[in-house]
Amino acid sequence: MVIGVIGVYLCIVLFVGALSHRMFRGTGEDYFVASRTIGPFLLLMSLFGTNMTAFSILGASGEAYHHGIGVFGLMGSSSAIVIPAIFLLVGTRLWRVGKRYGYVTQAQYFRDRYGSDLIGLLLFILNIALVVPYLLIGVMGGGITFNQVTHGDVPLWVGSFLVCAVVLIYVCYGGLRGTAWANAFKRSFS
Amino acid sequence: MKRISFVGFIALVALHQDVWLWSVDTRVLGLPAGLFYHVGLCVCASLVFYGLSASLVDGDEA
Repeated sequence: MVIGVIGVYLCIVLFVGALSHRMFRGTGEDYFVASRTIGPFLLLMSLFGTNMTAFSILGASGEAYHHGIGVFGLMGSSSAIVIPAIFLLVGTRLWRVGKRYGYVTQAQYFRDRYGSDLIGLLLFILNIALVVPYLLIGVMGGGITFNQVTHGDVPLWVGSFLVCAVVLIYVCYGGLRGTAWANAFKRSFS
Repeated sequence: MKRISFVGFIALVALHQDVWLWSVDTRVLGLPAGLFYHVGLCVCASLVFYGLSASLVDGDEA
């Protein structure tokens, strides 16, 4: 029963991601930043989805279990201050500059801002180095969750593999628009 | 509005340092005092950033 529900859920996520592909305009800008057409609702749901990962849901819960309610101050209220501050004070400016000059990645902005290909390359490498551990937490968290909700019927590696496969398909197929749509769908259950 | 919001932001960062609550074991409305404090801080943060975003939307210098 549980496996069936999870299977239906993952199929719907894939369908939503695939559905977004129908709006794809065949350009890099559309793939990476959805032609800058993400509205307030999808933006809010994407931000929510981006932060409600295994890192927050499993990691913070486990940390609070071990160390007490102080973890909420560390994770919850600090996020409530830092994320909107970065978004409003830095994000809105970068969005404006990116729209004017057609940037679709952070590395492009920094490369042009400082006139150095090396800075763009270093930032690209730094981004990858910082994102990979975060992604791995999500993959491991997916495997652990599958394993626990099915009482061990689904091995850890199968859960992690399924999470990777589903995310990979809708991200590759739908780009940012597909990701935003899938996030909106997923977060509507949160 | 924008200036008030920036002052509010600085105040939020300062108030987030809750060392005086670390050893308080009383409850407020059923919640541990430290947790209740941070819930209140989140509500204040939403008000401050609402003011900041409203000032940006109204066309103040970003």
